[in-house]
Amino acid sequence: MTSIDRSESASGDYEVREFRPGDEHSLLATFNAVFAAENPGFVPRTLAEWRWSALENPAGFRIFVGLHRGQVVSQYAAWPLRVWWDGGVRHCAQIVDSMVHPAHRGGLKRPGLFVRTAWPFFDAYGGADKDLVHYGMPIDTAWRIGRTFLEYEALRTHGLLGRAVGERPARAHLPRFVAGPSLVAGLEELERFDEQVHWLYQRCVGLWGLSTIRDTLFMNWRYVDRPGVRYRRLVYRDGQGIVRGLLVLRHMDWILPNLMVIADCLVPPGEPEVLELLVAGAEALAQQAGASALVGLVPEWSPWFAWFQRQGFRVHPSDYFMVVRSFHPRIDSLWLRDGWWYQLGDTDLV
Amino acid sequence: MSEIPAYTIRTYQPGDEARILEAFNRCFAAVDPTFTPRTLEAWRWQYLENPAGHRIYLAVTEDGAVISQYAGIPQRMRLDGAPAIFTQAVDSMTDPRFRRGLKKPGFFVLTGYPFAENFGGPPPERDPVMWGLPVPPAWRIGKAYLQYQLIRNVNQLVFALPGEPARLGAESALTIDGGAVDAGLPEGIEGLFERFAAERLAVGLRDRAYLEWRYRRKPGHGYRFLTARRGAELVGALIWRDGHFDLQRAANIAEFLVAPGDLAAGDALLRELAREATALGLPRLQALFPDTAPEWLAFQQRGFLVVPTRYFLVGREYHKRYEMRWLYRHWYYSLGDTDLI
Repeated sequence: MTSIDRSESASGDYEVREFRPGDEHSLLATFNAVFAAENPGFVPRTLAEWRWSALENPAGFRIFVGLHRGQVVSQYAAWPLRVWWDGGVRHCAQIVDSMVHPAHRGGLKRPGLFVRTAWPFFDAYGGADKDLVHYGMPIDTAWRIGRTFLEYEALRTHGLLGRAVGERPARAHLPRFVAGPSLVAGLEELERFDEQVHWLYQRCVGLWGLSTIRDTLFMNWRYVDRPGVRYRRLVYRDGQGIVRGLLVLRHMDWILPNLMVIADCLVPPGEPEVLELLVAGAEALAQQAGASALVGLVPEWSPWFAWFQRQGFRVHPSDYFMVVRSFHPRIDSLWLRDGWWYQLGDTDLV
Repeated sequence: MSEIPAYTIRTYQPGDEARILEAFNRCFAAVDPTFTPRTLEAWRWQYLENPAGHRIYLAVTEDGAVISQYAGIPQRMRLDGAPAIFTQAVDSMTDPRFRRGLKKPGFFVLTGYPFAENFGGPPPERDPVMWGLPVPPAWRIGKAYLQYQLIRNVNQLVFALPGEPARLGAESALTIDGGAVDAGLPEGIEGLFERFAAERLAVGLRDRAYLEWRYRRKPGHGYRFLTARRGAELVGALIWRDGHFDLQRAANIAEFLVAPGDLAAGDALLRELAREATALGLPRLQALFPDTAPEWLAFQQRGFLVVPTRYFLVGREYHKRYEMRWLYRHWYYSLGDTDLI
């Protein structure tokens, strides 16, 4: 194996350290410069959006930066998420927004500043007693670097479940929806999540080896308080007022234009009648919005994977693949493949 | 713990087969209660009669006993329009008596290193891709020592019988025929393959030499074929077998060669297969294609469901272009490319 110099001296004129208050202005300027250069349609991120992503996450932050003459020129960052694993609360983290300013990409011998910002990040945050798993869905360039230098491992390729709006199979027992938030008896759109979301999560979690804890802290941060993005929070409530299931939806351009994307799906196993109502409601919202298709992601081991197909969804190939780095000896890629429940909302893709 | 005898690591030499087979049958019988010992005829078919040759590294004692094997089935490919070979790693084994006799890495890796070094490399001289469907222990070791990487998790396409998988109505101009592959392969199948393969960047060569070897001369397996002709022209061919894949008995579709866009021919073949399989009492049709191949969605549109399997496809690259993401996007294969049926 090639020996790699991880010494500080190898980092030259750069200081690599954890984020400190005050870094945000040059960090954001670098972020906007990097992503505008790579994506002509990029809309610059505002400070409010950055603060939501980086500082207002109820699980904290995971950010290392590389500085040159006091300015942030690189970042390796993640969204930490509280997860339920092995009967207790732990953390995982999703790698997001990692970058190096183009003017600083050639400033070091290989490995470059990207990797030298990531190394202390993993040292600081990853571990059997710290974050159990770091994960993400990288672009090819980041994947190649990560595989070579950062112990990234591909966990699974991802098909996406998709169904054109209007192709809902006929179900005589399903009610017709009327336009508007009342939809049909039992379905409603929530303004904010309350404690019932955690009760619902607790009814689902039994079959899941590892999952992000869906409680008010996470769900309101992720799907209510995010600046500039509108999520539709559709729930089914029974006659006693109990929330029996939920879908979070976002109307957006993604892998195709004009999709109604299912960002989150939380329905207890064995209650397909609840999910059927929710998906019918999602279809109605998609029709109202003029969306062309409903799209979502379900791990293949889940019974919902077959269920969605029986509702007319097809499994479409995608370029997305899940990459992980595990820090716990009991959590390897095969274990994660067969036991980790996640949704598109566990990523920053939607 | 056994003491390790003096050993040599080298390629296969004529005369090794009896000792390889002895070790193979002992190793796999020890881990699989349903294992049926492999015959010499079957071994010779797999390794010595393959038109693409063989890939075998062995650790052998001074008296010729096989301690360990790292082996592969090479397959002639059309890769970016040029000839190349991909090798499927199969039958790797280490005699249980010697598994604990070495410090890490063990014999699996010690035979894997020279295998990779001597067979892997840029085409056409060497194999640019090696791949396999490993069991979990081999995957863990392969990741750590042999640069195994995931290409994709393997899902299959399943159609529950009885029923009729089809997208279109029947086309009266099509003639459907079929029979046992043992009686001979359909006329025109090589020309059909050329049309089938025209726009695929990485596809195993389905020429007569390969198809004869893979489906007609394989000992102990009764493959059947179906053909669709429009007039005299062969427009579709399907090779299948009644057997188990991923623990499920089914009509397993080994080959599905239909010219791009000829939905009617595909429909007709699958309808006929469903009829024959139902008559045999088979509960389902099963097929395996990459999710990036056109067949993936076309089969779903005919009523097939995507069902996960226990398998995952891994590879090792020896050429910068043909890395795992490229293979994910561009490599076509079907169940017959594997050694699973």
